Amino acid sequence: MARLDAGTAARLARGGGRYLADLRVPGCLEAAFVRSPLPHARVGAARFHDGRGLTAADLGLHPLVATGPGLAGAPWIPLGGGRARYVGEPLAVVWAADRYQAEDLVDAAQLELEPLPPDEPLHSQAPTGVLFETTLEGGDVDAALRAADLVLEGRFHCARQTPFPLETRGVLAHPDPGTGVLTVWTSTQIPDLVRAGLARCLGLPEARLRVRVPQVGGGFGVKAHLFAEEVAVAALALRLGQPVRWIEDRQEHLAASAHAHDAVVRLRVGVTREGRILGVDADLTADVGAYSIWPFSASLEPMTAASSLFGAYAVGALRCRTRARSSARCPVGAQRGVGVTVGVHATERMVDRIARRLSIDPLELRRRNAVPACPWTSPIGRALDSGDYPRLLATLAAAAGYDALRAEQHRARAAGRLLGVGLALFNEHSGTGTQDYRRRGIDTIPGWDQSRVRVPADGRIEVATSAADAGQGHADTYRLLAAEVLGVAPERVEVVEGDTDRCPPGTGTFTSRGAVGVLESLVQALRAAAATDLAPGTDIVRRADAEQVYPSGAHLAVVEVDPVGWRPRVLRYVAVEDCGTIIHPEVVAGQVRGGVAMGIGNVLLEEHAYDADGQIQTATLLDYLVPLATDIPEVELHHLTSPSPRTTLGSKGVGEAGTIGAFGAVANAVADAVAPLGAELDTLPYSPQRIFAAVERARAGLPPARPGQ
Amino acid sequence: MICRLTVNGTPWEGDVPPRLTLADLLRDHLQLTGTHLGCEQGVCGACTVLCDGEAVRSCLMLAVQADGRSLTTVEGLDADPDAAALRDALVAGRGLQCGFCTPGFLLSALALRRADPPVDPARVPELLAGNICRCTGYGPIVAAVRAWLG
Amino acid sequence: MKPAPVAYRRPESLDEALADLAELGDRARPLAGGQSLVPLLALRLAQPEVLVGLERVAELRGADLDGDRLEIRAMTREAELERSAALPPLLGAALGHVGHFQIRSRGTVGGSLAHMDPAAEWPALALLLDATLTVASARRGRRRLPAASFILGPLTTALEPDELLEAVTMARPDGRFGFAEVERRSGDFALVGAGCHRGRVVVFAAGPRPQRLPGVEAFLRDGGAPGPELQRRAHAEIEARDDLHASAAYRRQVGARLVDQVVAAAS
Repeated sequence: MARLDAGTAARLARGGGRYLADLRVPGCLEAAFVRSPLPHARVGAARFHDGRGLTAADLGLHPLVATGPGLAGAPWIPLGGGRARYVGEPLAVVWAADRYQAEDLVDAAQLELEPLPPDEPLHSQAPTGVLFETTLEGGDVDAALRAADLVLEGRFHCARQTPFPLETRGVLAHPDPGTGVLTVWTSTQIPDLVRAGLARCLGLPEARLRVRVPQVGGGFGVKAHLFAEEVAVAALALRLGQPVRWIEDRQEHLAASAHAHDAVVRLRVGVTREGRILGVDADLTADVGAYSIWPFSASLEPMTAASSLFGAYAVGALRCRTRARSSARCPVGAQRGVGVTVGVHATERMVDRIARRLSIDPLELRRRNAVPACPWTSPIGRALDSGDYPRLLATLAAAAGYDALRAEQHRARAAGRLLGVGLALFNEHSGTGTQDYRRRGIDTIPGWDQSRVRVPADGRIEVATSAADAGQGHADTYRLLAAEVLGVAPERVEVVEGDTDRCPPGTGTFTSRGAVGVLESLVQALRAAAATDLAPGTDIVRRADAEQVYPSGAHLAVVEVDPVGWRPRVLRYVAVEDCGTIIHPEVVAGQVRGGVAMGIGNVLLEEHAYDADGQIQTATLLDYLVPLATDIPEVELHHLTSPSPRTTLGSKGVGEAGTIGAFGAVANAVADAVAPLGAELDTLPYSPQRIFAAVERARAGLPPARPGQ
Repeated sequence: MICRLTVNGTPWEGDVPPRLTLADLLRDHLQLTGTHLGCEQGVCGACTVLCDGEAVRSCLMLAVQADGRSLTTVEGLDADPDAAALRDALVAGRGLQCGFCTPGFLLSALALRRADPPVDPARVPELLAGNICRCTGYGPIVAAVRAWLG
Repeated sequence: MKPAPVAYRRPESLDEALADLAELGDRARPLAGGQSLVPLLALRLAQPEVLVGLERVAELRGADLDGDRLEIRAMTREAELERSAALPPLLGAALGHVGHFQIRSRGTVGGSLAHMDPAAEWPALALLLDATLTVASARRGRRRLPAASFILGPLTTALEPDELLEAVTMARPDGRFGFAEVERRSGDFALVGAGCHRGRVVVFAAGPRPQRLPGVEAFLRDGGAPGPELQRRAHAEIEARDDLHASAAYRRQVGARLVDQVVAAAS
């Protein structure tokens, strides 16, 4: 395919991106939020300077309930509805001419808060705090474990982390008294779902709402939720009959947008002496914070993590009891790769432990257990559409020079260096469709996507999709595809995303939908249009309801740990990706590199922490550490191409693979580096402190620390 | 408080509240929205501008502290063919995705180009460690800046 | 994250600045480069009524780095020092650890010393080099304090509300030295750091303030050398705290190893 039309990138590089905070609407007021200083409290009377403040009750906001199998039905309540459930939760909105004065009003606001005891349930619908629970099971796990020569156990914990786009959230609501329509500009990945949720929270028909998405400065999942601030700003604009905006600051973002991960996985794995994995018995608990987040619900992390366990391996029997527990902390939502990262971390660390225990090389152990050929259906019903796992491993070994690396490691260890080599073999599901969501217990997400090809009177070709670009570069990819299929110049094609008035409704952009369902609907719409004469008036809409597809990969990382300060550094990174047919090589490379960087950050640096009083300790960038240029090596990228039979073009998506692979490869490399010291690592991130503590425990002859220590 | 400064070669004078940050002066009073706010605590680098030729965090400077100084923002780079060359190299090498961090990287790199003694291209990752990018994984940015400095 | 309302004074001379502080007392905060104070203003953790901006006070600017005795006036920016050919290598090595270069464009020596972050390099350097800090007030005139008396604890110095740090002076550091830090990422505050010069040994970022290690220094005077015994003594002597990023035990162990490294580099 031709090179990118780099028009968008050039405009952004000139500082010409119109992000949410750059929109200028005359007379726009600035909102700020009064947030809870307590983890759990009853909210009493509120007093505001000059009466410029409103609570949930004042605004008459309705809660939303994500329903589905296994869910307790606990509501998501914008502005808390009279209760505060985590530190930083927005409880009231104030407004002024600018943000400075709005923060003065926040300081002046007086909210009566009655602290509630820590054991008081956050939601009456979940008296034990379990918001979601289910068991995935296939094959005879108990028999498999009985038949095993050896049953190994492990407990792996992934810290609470956050996607951290460089642009924070923001919303601008602009009422039009003439039409009665409220236009809500918001930095989101899911415009249609935001509109649906807003309509229900505000008690308005969807037709009275238009959701528009400006340039978005990164999303990575966190902007794929409906937030209380969106609801409150929309309600406030309607109440005042004036435009109102709110721009999130970084402190608010870190304390009160959405967090991710925070899950403990316990594994019991039965293996033969030859290293064949016979069965896996798993138990998983995710701390999902104060609410069942909307629209994904509390099932998102525990269900995704559980279903991804040992996903690239031919295991005959697997059981995972999985649950979501609430806590008085920021709600947990989506982050690039969602729970697959947690599942792959536990799986890959466990595979390395098995290899070490049986004195089998980790690459060889993966060869013996990899899914041999596709299609393949796992015991819990994951129907892998495509992929070649043995070849992924062979390609990785050749590209990385695996044998030479191990020899180099041997020499380095003899010289006293702590050098580790780590592998990951994985797959992920992408492009999740309607049936997949229903099976997974999520009723709030449509699961289908749409595209529309329209020819207005001026002869332009307007291509509109239900996706919303957050910086991935859809528009350029779609423009080139349209030009190719329709046989027209790219300049004639205008790609429209992120406007509920101009785009056909759908599910939005996450789990690489842009390369699966959205792309499928676009291909079908374009092919239908190509069969016409593209006369003005042409207007074709196509819907695609994707079946899940499974991109896969094998990654290798080389890590050295500084023996003085225990600081780990990634020296080398090799990735072999199979995302099916590659639509745009540069976009794919960009997604993998960026994904790997996020994974490195998640494995080595990033961690949200709360103290014993429920106060967040990581609300500034001095304490929540994301990777810098010095933390990321060049990513050596190689491709395999197993086209998916489930999509017309054969593409499978690549937005998450880099991150997922790094959760296995980097974690295993750090663990391998310190293995000669007897240290066992199982709690992310693998920070200098955790490495130090693990080494000290090994020296003292103690068992590995429990998560949290 | 009266504040007089020069922005991208053009003098500006206005009455600003002392608490106003330089970043907000640029964005809200001068409509130069290419300077982005990513953290307002001096860590992310998205708001980096040149102040009398040196790279500074515009979120960590009050507008009144910039009185009498000369500032360059991303909107001023068109006047500088050398800076424009780096910008074009970043675009061509896919050194940006969402673009939010890009102006900050450009201004930081420009300050490095003017450093005396010249910076060692091998130190580029370390010298760019004061700017956060969450999309690209840094590789393409480091490569473009290194080639441009080289 | 926007500062609360505040008034601003911009004195043109040291006398004027001291008069402002004498008049306002603890209602005012002097503002140097702002790299520590402006974030605290933005978080509204600091809410002075008046900021006294020091950018026009000529007496506070400039550094004399040429003689045997160095004088660095308070408003000297770190970037200016870095550009000076006369900067002693020890100061250059330490400066490389101060934030990122964009921070050093604005950050001042006096601002860092007066702010007294326990993990900052300047208080540690002042202690290591036995610096003298000159402090001025309108009412009491000048007083000169050794670094050890100036540095009291986290974000706490001997400065009274009406006093300004005017300059820091020290004998030119020459000869061999060691300076090392462990930081999570490039440019971060150190988890723990150490320096050694002319038999003085300082650890910083470990405890509430930079700390000299007299036991280790005595060991060295008595002919002790780097090795397990030196590390054992350092480990026993380091005052360490727990925080989010590292435990006291980590800081003692790694601090002792850094002491060993810097002593070796300096000898």
